[in-house]
Amino acid sequence: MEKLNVIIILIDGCRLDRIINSSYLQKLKSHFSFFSNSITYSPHTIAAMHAVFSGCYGTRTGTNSYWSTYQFKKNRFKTLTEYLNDLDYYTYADLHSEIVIPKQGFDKFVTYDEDKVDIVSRHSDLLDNFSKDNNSFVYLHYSKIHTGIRNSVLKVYTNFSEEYFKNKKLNEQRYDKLFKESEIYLKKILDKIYSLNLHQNSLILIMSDHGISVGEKMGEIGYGAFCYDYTLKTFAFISMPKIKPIEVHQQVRSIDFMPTILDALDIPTDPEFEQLDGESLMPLIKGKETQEKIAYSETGNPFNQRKPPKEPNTMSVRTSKWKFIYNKHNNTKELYDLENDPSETLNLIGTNLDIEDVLWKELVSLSD
Amino acid sequence: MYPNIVFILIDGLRSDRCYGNDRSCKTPNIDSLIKNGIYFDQAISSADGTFLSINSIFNSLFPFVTGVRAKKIVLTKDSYLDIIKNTGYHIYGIIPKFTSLNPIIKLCENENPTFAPEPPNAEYLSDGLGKKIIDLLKSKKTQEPWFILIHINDLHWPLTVPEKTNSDRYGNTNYDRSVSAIDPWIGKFLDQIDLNKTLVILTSDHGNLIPVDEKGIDVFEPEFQRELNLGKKLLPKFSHNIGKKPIISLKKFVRDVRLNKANRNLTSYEKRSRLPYFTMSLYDEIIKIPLVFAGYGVKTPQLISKMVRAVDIFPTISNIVKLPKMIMSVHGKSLIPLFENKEYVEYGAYLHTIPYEKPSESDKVGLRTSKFKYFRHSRDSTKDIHLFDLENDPFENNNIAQNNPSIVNDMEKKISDIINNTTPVEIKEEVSEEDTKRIEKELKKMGYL
Repeated sequence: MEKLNVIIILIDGCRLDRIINSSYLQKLKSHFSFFSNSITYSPHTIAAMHAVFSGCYGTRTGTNSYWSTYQFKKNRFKTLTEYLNDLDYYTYADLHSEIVIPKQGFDKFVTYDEDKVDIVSRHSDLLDNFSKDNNSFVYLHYSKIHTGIRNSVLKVYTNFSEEYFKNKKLNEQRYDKLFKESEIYLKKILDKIYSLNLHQNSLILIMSDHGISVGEKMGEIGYGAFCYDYTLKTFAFISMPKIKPIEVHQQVRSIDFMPTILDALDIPTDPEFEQLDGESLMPLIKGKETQEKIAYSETGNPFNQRKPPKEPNTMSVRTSKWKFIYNKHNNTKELYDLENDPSETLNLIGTNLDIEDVLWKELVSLSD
Repeated sequence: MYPNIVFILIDGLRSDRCYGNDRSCKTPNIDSLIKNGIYFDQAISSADGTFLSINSIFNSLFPFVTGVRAKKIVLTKDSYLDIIKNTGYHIYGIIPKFTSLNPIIKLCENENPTFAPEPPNAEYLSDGLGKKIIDLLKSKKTQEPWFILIHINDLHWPLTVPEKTNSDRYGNTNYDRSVSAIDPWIGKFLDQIDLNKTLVILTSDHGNLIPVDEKGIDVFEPEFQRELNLGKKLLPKFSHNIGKKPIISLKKFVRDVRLNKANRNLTSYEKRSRLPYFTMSLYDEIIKIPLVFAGYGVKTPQLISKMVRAVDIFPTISNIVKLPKMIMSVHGKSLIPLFENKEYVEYGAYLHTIPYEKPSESDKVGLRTSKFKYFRHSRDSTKDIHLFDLENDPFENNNIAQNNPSIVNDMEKKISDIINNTTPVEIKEEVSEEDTKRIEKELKKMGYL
């Protein structure tokens, strides 16, 4: 396969249900393969994106919390950026913070002020200057949903503010407004990509790192406290030349995208680094059947503190049918039948279901 | 009370310059240390460069555990230095001021544990560094028991031979003369040490190339200074950089023609000696290191010619001074059975070249036993396969891989076994105060604090 450029567009905090209900984004399915059931490793950006870039869970890489960007074991885990940079790709990241993705391998790592930035013009200009000579990898981080939630939710309420949970409609409206802006951003950026014909020689991945609560569960006003589906379940659009778009409903994991890109670009994994946890999704993209993999996720519930913990205290394993959650902080377990109870309201722990023990063992093994 | 420990690491010191007849350097002090201690003349480093080698020594682990592309010191949680410190030792040192060595530098309790290692301001032993080490060794401020790490950089490229030893009397190569210049300092350091209560270890991180007839690759490169000057005069300034390129290519072309001609009757070993200093290599001249244990705990001086590995150094120290047992599993083994002439099973030495900025075709992985040396491309087991019969071809002139596929397979299996049988360890990714502050600032900015 010819050497393709790589463009990753991250819509920080974008909820899957909004994507499914967006007529514009649904139209993208005619150009992009659509993954409607992608499970993030962690429902907050730092741990989630380190897992995406490394194709590995933070349990192994060292980045498993808000605090552990610099604990990423860079001598043992090779990031997507490093793979591309080793092949002389020009690598460029544009984002709102220097700690949310692994920096290594980037030729240029630029941060912007999320309060002041005009992301549409900034990223459009950046694409205008896309190198015509060398292959490039560009990472574009759209942070405005996060900025809006930070200003009107995280700074205003606590995880247990009754006022917040009483006004679910207001929460929905607030989120929808932010989502609408992200839709406009995406449309303009994709128009730019098409006008420059970049889609003809690029692999394009559009994804989200986690969802955001609109008041589903008391104890979580934003994200990062729980392991429920409204923050864990995300989406991805992938396009590459000569590959017919397909819609994949099967559960995949956000750690699978990095190996998918390597596979699509014919880049072998480096045996001198740790093996990947993720697996290529190219067979699924090509319409083949593969066995669904269990998805592991974890986060650190801060409860009433205005400070996330340094280590995860809540973890889950998920299949398309079941979710098993272990709350390490109080040694409790939760089990949900996702097919019949997608909102995860009826805890089936202790109801003599065989799956309880199976998933507990999986969780213990994956969290170790 | 634990004994004191002095760990002298002479960066780039070859094993064959410390012992044997194939050397012209004068080293009465090192000779005396060897005579009164236990000397291993077949000690093998895990890597051809400083960082991987030091990681391997201090963690007692082969470099694939701490990362073969690590460009800095990576210490495991509960590494030997941790154990030494937690046992009550005070750690002091004189160490090159490289950011990449910070994890070790930070452990040192003395006020000024670093020195400038690189020209133009490099501090050599004869320029005051030697005195600084002596001052540390006789300082009344050091608290016992102490572990003192002395990392000498005088043999590092570019070699600067002190005037005093720059004559035939001290060696017929610049390298030998530089070794001769280091030797009296070793004597002066030892004068400050009570060997009855101090264990002394002298070793190095890797060997070095000593160009045959003192003619390294650079010697064959024409200067073309007249042509360059003429070009500068005739061409406008903006074109100087472009104009220089063909001349540089021509210089390299002429160099290679001359080098090939000069190398015509040389062995592979001799040809290799002329390669540039930073050439990756797993040949013995680069990975064979000196290893001496002397002083406390060394009862019967002897020369041991069994192959041992750099990873064995700290398990041996631990055994001699009776440190608490290591919790994690390491690759090294104590060499005490060899001290006591007891039965000793040889273990293979895993080898890896140091990383350049990007993966290179020269990256190699290998294994050495006392009988064979095996290495190949580090990411492709079918490329660049080399096998040498060390008993009959100690200078590694004849690659016998093609005719010995079963030995190649066996060596390959041994490498896999070492990797597969390694217990995972926890790496210490220390976050500095500055980094923690930076994270706090960013988390606050993003609304999480």
